[in-house]
Amino acid sequence: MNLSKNTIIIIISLFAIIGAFTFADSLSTVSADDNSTWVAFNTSNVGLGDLMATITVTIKNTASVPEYFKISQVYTGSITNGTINWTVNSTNPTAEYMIDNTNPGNSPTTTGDLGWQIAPGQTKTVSFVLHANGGMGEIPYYLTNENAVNNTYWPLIPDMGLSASWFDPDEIQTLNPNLQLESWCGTFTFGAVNGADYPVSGIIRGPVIPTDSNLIYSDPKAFLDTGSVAGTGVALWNVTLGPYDGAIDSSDSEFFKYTYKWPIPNKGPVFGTGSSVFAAAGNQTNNTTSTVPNQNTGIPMGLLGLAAAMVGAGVAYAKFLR
Amino acid sequence: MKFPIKLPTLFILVGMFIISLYLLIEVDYYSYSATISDSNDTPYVVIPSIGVNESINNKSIDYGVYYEPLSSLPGEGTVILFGHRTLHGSPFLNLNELQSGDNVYLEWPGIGNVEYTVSNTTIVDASYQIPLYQGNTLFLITCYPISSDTQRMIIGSKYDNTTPLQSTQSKPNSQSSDAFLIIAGLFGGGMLLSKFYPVKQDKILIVIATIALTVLLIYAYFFPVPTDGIESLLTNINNFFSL
Repeated sequence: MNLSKNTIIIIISLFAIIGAFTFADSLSTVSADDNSTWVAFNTSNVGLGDLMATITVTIKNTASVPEYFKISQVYTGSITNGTINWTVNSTNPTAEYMIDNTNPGNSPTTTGDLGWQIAPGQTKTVSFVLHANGGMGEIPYYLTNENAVNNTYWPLIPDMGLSASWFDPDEIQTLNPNLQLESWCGTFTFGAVNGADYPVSGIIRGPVIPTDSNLIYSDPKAFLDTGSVAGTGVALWNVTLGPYDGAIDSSDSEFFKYTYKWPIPNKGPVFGTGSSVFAAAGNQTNNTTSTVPNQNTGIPMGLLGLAAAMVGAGVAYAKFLR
Repeated sequence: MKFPIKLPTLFILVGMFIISLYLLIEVDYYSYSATISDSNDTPYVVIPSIGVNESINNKSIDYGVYYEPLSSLPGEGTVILFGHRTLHGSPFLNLNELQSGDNVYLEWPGIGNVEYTVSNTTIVDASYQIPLYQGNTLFLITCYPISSDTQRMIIGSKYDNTTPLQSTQSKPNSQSSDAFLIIAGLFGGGMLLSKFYPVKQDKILIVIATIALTVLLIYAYFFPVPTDGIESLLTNINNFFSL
């Protein structure tokens, strides 16, 4: 076989280039998955506080018996060390204190669950205003992601700024199938405070994010992180805060306001957006996200046939026609 | 200027590379199958009439039968399962042979052995989005026609009953060896091709290509990466040539 050195170099280069493109394409997918990698948190030099929420809910009782739409004052989302304790500032119409065997509370003014009676077949709209107590209230605090892991990525750190937590507004329909959520709208306000004596920059996410909802208002105007929570863009802000000088003022703090509305218009209950884990095999797939079949799922096999034909045609041509 | 590679040799090399990309996807699947261990928590879908007995995962359709996480658990509402007809283990290869009245069983730890009866088959465009709330029903969804991604075949089955799960049928995964068969097949085929290839001066090129592609598959087996990019590339080429 007479084969020049140049020919071999060309062949090897050809495969190297094609192979590199192929694997680079695949590895880019891995990189995209790495967006969900969270580093383990230690503490934060920026804390969030003065968190308030104004929520309006329209809900229908589809049962033939009276039901109560209840609200709790303890919120735990997909976070660790991030339980938020709420105080209900006001309700409209005035909520009633609930018979409660899970969170009865010691005082009717600060704890215990509240609720509204909804008659059979009735659709009721209620609103309530909450503010956080303690952490994320008067104490600047931050959320940590439960999937956070220790890492050795130095010097490259996949730190995406302060985290968000999220919840499903329509989860009430699962918890109590007699209650059908017609609409949900929540406005959140919070402040970010720099606790360091030097200026800092980075990403701050809205601390509480409803899923399957649209961000309809934000001030300052927020960016949307669509990779963290399936079906919802997480409001985030790129901020620079001045050094803390012993007193919180406008140089070392900033206030944010954002409003989400559920459901996303014209978005029916469809498949293709989920990333939750089913209980049965959850331990197999821990810390992974689902890929979802969609319009592009599946590979046409026509090209495989063409490739086989090319090999066959090449051999046949070389043997019979050359 | 003399072109360094004969035209038929170039055809063969390109053809081998494309074939190896398809094989790479399958090797990747078997590699993942080997790393995802079955356990007593793993649910199974069993369809006796077409010989399906596959574990169900909620990680990716590329790893076998995939449970849509937004759908309900068996017996509690609409259950949706996806599976490929070609590649990725081809779990739903013969789904088109299902007839009304055939039984489908979901052996689901924590729930039981849930029995469904096939009631209808529907062909829809690939862009169709199925409603999640259609009662106590099971939908098996795969590509249609076979080897095409232009449409989807949806097999609807009605819920019959749930019986206690006698025993979880966790079974060892023996598919990892299939990956080595594929790799050996590529290597052997390439070497045979080079041996009998009539253009003597280009035999070495086929040998080099065979070795390079074999190494590529071996690498992909031990260091599997998501093949979405490769699949997208192949799909785009298919679409470009209207295949």
